[in-house]
Amino acid sequence: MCGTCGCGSPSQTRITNLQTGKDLAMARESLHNHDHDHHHDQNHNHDHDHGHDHHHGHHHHDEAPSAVVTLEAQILAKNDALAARNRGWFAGREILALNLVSSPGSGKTSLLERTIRDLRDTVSISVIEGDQATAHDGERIRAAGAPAIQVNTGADGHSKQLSVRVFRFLGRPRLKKIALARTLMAVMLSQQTPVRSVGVVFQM
Amino acid sequence: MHELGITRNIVSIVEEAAKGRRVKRVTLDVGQLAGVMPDAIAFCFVIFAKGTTLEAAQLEICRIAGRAHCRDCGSSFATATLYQACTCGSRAIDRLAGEELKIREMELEEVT
Repeated sequence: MCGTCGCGSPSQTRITNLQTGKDLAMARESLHNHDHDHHHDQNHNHDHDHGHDHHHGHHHHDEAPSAVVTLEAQILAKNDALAARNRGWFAGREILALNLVSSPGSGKTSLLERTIRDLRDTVSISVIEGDQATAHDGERIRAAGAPAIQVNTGADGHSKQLSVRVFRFLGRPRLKKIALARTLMAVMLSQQTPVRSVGVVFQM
Repeated sequence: MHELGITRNIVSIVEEAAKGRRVKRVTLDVGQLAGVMPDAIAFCFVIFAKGTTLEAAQLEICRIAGRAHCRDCGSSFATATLYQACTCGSRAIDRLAGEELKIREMELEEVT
């Protein structure tokens, strides 16, 4: 794992197109440039009623005089910029992108299998499945009827900031009411930009 | 992102901004919905600060509560999760606060 940003090192990561069985080359990104261009911009727009719960009784009556320097530095500035770019990429293609995260064995794949079966006729769903080594979960997703690609990160654990392609899918469906499907539909309908398809990313 | 990488970023950003001066305090804004555990940051901070100008710095973490605005009924409300629905039932919400992850300020030793 890269000690600076926590991502998996690209050399250990494999991406497999499960439809063809071929490995996809990872796009070369300038993500690993870790000099932090933190910006001390004072005009940020998200300063609302903060609801702080900290106690500011900090007048140090003691030692050497000190200077308080306002930084307002976004810790994940680079990551945030990439995330914004990804969001724009998805929005431009009218794709609702969801990231499904929970501990291993909690039922993500099962939940998604069922959701895919139920919503296949209503919306295109494509899946990026992440795992350390096997393509087992990815195969389950394909069996449920959604195109999937499998990312295997090797011993490094999960890898973020991947450049991948989302595939279209057409299938058969019956709309049933399960919690995830309902929430998914509600979120889709509430988006400000139109949604024509859904991409789901799994993380370990 | 892991708190490990985040904390390393924090130390790196502050150290560069401090320009060699000793850092007495670092104050972070961490939103309740930022997906980050403050305890883990505090733990990692001690490790990464060793050997740097932040070695003796006190780490202060301010939690910022989640808040959203409903586009349908116009009300603003506190949120405990990212995609919480409005009390009116709508999910057409704009997230206003609670996802912050930044270094608000640092306190440096004055150069005498």
